[in-house]
Amino acid sequence: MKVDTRALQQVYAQFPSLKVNTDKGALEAAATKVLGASGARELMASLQQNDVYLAARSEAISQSPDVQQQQPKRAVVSGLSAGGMLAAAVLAKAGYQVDAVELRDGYTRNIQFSTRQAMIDELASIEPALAEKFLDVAAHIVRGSHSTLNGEKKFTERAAPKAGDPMGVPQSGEEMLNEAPITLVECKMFERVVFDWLKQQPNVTLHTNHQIVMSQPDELGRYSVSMTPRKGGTSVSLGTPDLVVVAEGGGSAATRKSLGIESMATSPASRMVAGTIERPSGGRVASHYVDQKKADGGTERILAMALGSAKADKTWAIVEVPTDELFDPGPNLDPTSKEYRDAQQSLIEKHFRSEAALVIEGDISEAKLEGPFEGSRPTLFTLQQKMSNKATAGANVLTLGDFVGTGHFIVGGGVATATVSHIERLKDLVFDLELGLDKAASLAKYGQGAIADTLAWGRRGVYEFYPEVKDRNVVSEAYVKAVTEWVSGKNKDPLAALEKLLVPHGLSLPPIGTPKAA
Amino acid sequence: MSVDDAAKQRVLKAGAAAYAQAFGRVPPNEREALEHELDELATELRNAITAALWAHPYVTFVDAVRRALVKAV
Ligand SMILES: Cc1cc2nc3c(=O)[nH]c(=O)nc-3n(C[C@H](O)[C@H](O)[C@H](O)COP(=O)(O)OP(=O)(O)OC[C@H]3O[C@@H](n4cnc5c(N)ncnc54)[C@H](O)[C@@H]3O)c2cc1C
Repeated sequence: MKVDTRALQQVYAQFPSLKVNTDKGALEAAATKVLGASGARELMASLQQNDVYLAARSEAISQSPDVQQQQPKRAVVSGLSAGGMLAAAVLAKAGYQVDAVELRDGYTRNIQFSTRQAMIDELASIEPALAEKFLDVAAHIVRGSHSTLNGEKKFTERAAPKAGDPMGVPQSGEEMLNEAPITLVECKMFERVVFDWLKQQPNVTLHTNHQIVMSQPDELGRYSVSMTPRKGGTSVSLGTPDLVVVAEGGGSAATRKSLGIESMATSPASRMVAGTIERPSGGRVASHYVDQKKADGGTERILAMALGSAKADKTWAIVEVPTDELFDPGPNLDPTSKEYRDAQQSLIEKHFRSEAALVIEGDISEAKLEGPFEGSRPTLFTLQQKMSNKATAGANVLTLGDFVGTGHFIVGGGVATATVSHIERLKDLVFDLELGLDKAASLAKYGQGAIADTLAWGRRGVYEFYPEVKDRNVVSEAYVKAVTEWVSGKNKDPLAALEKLLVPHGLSLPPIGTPKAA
Repeated sequence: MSVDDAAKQRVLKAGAAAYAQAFGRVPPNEREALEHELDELATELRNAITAALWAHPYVTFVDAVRRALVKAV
């Protein structure tokens, strides 16, 4: 059956968000509005085969001019890591005039992400060129993944990445995380690819070195936004946008406060040192666990992980710090002096080097080290899972990525939750709005979906904090129950609720009044 | 004071001095807001603060910064 691409073009003109959304159900609903029931039936019948559909879709998209609406919808995106940038891309393709605001002035993060086929498919669904460029900077995990637990080794091979398939994008965090990671990519390389593409979009204005400030919501619940230079200066109003996307990562306390979104810890805390080692790995993921005695007689499991893209000459490592380790260089130096801090930094690097050597399985005593940002040194950070109690605010704000919550890095779920699962939810939201559905209901649907995606990430790695509970599923199920009940207001502290659920399964809680970690 | 306690006190003093030197003011009320500020800092300063925050409750750290600021004047 011949495809009438003009009919398809007509649909895209009125429902531009379908240019980044391959869902046939959405297309049929839109076609029914534009072409009537019988026109839609005819069009959908001609598009039954996926390859025919995809070919007709790209032809129609390339031929349908970008509609210059008289009064385009307006969006502000705050936070331009990969999640925020893809949100800006989706909104721009859907015809919004987008102001995209980022605090930093450049892309310098050395973090290496393990990513799934879903990421490539997602990029292909937004812009095929982005998927191709991603494959240029990302590398296959050629040497598979190695895991060692107290000397016992496991090896898993990883399938090779395929060209992006826009129809292959998983629809939920659960589905997406069921896939195994297959590629590694340096964060800054990935971010630069998307940023360069965004720069070319006529309806996107990028503002680096700026941050947004939210007003109180108006009587309709809409937040207005202004933007100020990071180092202070005159603020500029960005008005009251139709949508505000907050993708500021996990630490954004000020925005969270102005939106009235609460965030709570959903796991205990542990400390990590992160950085890079100037030593290529040939494309490998490795983790190393060892059970160690603590000063109080208990045991703790210490994790070290290394990720090395075959396209980078260095390996990224994250190593855990034992609870009792203080990194104190001793009484001979004045604690307020630079000498003390330098000696403390050396201790941190010594620990980093020795743990990283275990995963890299080689001598790295002379290798050059760097920290998470270009020019920095190996850095201590606290790892603790968190969740927000909601992912939307008022009548025009939605949040995505780490702002919604975080899980354990061992899952490799952070960047994918932001850039695949939450972006899919955003596409649905924008389409629902084009369809004329109630905005409050559409936002609520987005919020529930985004929370579920982040919960899917959190539940998968949380057992890492409870090695004494033998059955991982027990921890995972307790996590979902405790966090879901907190989100719906049924408990006041998700972590306390989780630990209570784990006591019958072997978790020993510290006596009341003793903090588990500072 | 045990060896550990003395070490904890030194780590606290080092972290508080690092914060006082970097920002010249009392830290924000919330720990999360403080952690966000660390992104800007040189690694040794940042790590000194994180090490102190691990070994002590947040309020103890804030008090120690107050004391460090008084001394600095
Ligand atoms: C050490 C480490 C290792 C990790 N390894 C992996 C891994 O292997 N695989 C994986 O999938 N994930 C990994 N993650 C998680 C991953 O980094 C995050 O989940 C992911 O980056 C989340 O993206 P995001 O866009 O939500 O937030 P972020 O990447 O945190 O980006 C937030 C952006 O917002 C900007 N910003 C913040 N505040 C403001 C403001 N007020 N105004 C404007 N802009 C602002 C920031 O500068 C930043 O650019 C790791 C994380 C860490 C810390």
